Amino acid sequence: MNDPTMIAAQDLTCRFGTTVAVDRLSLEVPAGSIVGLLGSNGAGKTTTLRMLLGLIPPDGGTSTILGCPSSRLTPAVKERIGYVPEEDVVYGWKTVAGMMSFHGQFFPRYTGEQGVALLKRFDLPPDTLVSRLSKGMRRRLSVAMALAVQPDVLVLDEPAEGFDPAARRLLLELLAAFVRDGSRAVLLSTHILGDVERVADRVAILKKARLVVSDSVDALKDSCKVLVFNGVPDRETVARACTILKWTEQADCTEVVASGYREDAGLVVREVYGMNLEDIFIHLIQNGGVS
Amino acid sequence: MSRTLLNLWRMFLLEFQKVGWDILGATYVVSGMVLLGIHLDHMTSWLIILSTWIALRLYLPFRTRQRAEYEACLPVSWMCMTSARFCVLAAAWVALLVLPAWLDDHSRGVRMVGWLARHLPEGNAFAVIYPYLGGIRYAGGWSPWLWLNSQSGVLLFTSLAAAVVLHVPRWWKAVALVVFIAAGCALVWVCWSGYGDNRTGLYHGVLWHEVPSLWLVAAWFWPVNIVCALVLLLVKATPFTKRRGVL
Repeated sequence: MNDPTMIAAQDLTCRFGTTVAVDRLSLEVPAGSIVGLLGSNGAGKTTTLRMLLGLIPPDGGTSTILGCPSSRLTPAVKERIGYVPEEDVVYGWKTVAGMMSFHGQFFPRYTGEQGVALLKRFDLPPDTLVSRLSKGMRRRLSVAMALAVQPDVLVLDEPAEGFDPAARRLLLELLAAFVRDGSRAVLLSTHILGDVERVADRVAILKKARLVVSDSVDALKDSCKVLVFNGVPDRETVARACTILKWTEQADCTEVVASGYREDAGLVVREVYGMNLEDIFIHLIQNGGVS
Repeated sequence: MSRTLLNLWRMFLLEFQKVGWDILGATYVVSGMVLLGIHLDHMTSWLIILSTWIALRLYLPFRTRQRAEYEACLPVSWMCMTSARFCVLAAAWVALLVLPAWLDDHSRGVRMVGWLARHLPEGNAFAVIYPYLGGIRYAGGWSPWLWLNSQSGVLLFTSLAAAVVLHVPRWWKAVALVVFIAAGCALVWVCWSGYGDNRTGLYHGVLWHEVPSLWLVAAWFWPVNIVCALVLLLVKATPFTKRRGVL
């Protein structure tokens, strides 16, 4: 591994006028990992990615990508970055193959064979004009272009938007293969939490411009549980043992969605069950951060 | 070095495709509107304003936000990208406007433009529109001053302003913006300085005298273009820049 930390941000802040879009965000993307950047609409995900790539200047904090400050990315560093922006970037007058070739030629690691192979894998018609592609197909082309240049870091902003299930599965397979040798990394911003759960090693959750969670997927799932108590337990006792995200009293039991729960906490619990990432995300976004 | 040159060439081709089509499209729009304006006469001024606005909407944001983001992430230096862009603009300017006028007015080589203007029927679109597009050819010959007195001159000015203002660090944007606004105002003043009874200014000293029936149309170009360009520049260069894109 050349760069143990492929992307690093420290106290990154961005304001648009009086609106704080990103508030003191600190984040690390180590080599060999896929980090999922999650958050509700307007939470600051795209702004974060744009700051990391030096597309907009931050109002505070610093960030580096492949060891180079984001504000001063040189062409040599950019050659090692693959980026799929939120909006598709394709020129309508070019053919699919022409667009791939045009893009790839800027990158020294690109080979025509690799480009053609990716077009085939994404089932993209090479001779069709880009302007005639559907939204989902354009997205596929954007992703294929980013992968074809064989970067060290992939920054993906909603890459699977408009993808059908087969294309989504292919994308996840390609991402998993991409980081397999441990020398490359992916920063993946998406709303499709199932995808993150399947491929990501770590998640960073943004809520109203602030990072509320930065943890491994497994640790987060271990940390967030649904606790079922007989009757109504003492709320203060439960609160001392974990962070209560949701408290629901039912006829004969009380259901508590909690983070930071440990089995040795001493609570008398009738049942404990885990949650998937989507449930965790919804509880965290609706009910506050994790202690 | 060879890689840099190759990248420059690729960017040149890309910009040629992008800006070239925009210029052509905008030129057609402006041409049509001017022609329409001449025939409608009293509506000329408003049509010119409208057409100028449309043209500038095509010209100035020659990179949309997504294109801007995409291109900013290409492993190409800003210098390379900007050089390619201005090569294309300059090439288009010379090819579409300066060269034909020069050939025509100096009777050197092909007299294509003059021939077309003279042989097509009276009041044909080409003969009528050409002076407005180029602002170069008029009855008495040609003037380097009038090279700038054209859509393409405004295009170069505003593109240069946009490139510089959007590229410089945040607080320098304000300084660059003030400089370009001052330059724009100075150009407007130069254009309008002869307006009135004496008509001795750049525009009116020449066009009013030489092509009296057309002065009103032509005279609108610079001032209106500059004002529109500066408004757009303000929108793109102020804090909104963060939202709108990068350079």
